[in-house]
Amino acid sequence: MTDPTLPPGAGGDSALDAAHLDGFTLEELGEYLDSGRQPRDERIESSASAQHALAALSRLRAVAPKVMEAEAAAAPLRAPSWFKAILDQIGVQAHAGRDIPLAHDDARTRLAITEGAVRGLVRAAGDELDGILVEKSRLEGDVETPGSPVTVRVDVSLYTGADADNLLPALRRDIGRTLATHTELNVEEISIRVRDRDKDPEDDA
Amino acid sequence: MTSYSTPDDLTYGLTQMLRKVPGVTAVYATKPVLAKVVSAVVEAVKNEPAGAHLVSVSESDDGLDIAAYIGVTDEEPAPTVCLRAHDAIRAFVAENSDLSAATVDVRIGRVG
Amino acid sequence: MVSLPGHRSLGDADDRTLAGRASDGDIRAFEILMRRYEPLLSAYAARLLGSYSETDDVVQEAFIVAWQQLPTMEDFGAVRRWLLQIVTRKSIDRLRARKDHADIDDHDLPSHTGDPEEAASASSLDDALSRALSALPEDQRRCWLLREVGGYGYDEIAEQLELPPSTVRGLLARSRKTLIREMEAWR
Repeated sequence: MTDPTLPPGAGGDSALDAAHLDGFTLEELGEYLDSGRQPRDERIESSASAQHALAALSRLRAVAPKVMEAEAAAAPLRAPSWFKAILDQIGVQAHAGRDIPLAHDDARTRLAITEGAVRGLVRAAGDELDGILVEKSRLEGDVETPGSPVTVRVDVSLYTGADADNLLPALRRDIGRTLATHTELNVEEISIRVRDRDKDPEDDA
Repeated sequence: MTSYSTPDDLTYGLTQMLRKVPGVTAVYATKPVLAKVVSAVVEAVKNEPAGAHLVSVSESDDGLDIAAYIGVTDEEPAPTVCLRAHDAIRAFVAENSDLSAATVDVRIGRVG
Repeated sequence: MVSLPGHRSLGDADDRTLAGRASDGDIRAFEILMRRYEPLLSAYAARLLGSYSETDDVVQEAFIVAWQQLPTMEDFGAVRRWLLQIVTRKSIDRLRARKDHADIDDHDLPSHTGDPEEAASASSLDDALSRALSALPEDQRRCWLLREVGGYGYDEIAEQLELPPSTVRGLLARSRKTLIREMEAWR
């Protein structure tokens, strides 16, 4: 198989010159590398020339992300206002959820707090406690009807060494308090599920 | 005193006024942003960084229907601030418009 | 990376945690992700587009789309690649639109001749490759970026760039050959 993409006699002493590829094409070798050298191809693995070319391709692959990172680092920093303009626009829209009414005696007035804002309160309660992270929360029940019983379900992770026996009751207490202060929900139950009991900083690195 | 003769003036005035209500930390657009209108959001980010017309005002048979979407501080109860914002809207319309406010809809999208 | 628990550490939280929180509507977590990836996404978009002037719009759009689509994201740990792919799609939309208005000549990135001498004078290998990347023909550069930065497979690249897979293979091979030559020249 010849390689029509390489100009004939593209000189130099590169490991990738057709003359040095032991009959393999650059596409072939590139694809082999791209597939993680699986399934193993004995012909390629036993050719010194092909190995040399694969090494060069691997080196290029290894520096590729660094090139982009270096260009990113060299670019001027964007002004904080650039981020703020985007955040203000997308801010609270996408995750607003249902409207939870706040009582008012004038029928022509409608006051409400969104489900998204309430979930934010639940997260903030967790953020005030060390060792625990609120990952997700949801409100179950007919929150749109005043007085309906509501269950708050919260998924949390605990960090290594966190004191679950104290933290979980503290979180339940703080969520109850903040919801009582800022909403008129009839919270019947706050159910906390621990998803990750030993969250290790290195796990996601 | 400034007069607000058109709904557009009024929505501008209400937006500015709401930002100054104690406990109100942000005024958001009332219309939901959908995936389809990403370009509209980009336009909004470009053209109106200050978000001057975020409170919506429409005319109905009974007067003006007004809707606002706000963020509030967590330093006092959210319903208290919500009510304060509502009262401020009614007072502002009474003072600045020939039409009276019919329905007033205030939603809180964020606390703290 | 999460090193310390508590609310002051959200800025140090790992991608998985931040994406999970952002998908739950936490805009503070999303802001941290934005700040973390904006420089990379902008550099990548500028390279794909060959232009700085459209980069702003593309990255802005990408963040808005990302915020909307986060709840449907499957692997929160892969947020970097996910964001790069959104930027890829948005950039390619632009390129297609540009093709429809072929008179727009919008290439304001500095171009380099990319000869080995120049590469050898670059201050670092990164710099040398940056220059070499600039010197590549556009279609080669895009294929290479989609493969090595965007993490796309051959067929996906073919689909995105509307090229036959065989052409993509050829373009990738040529771009790699040129870049490796620059790398060797620099060494």
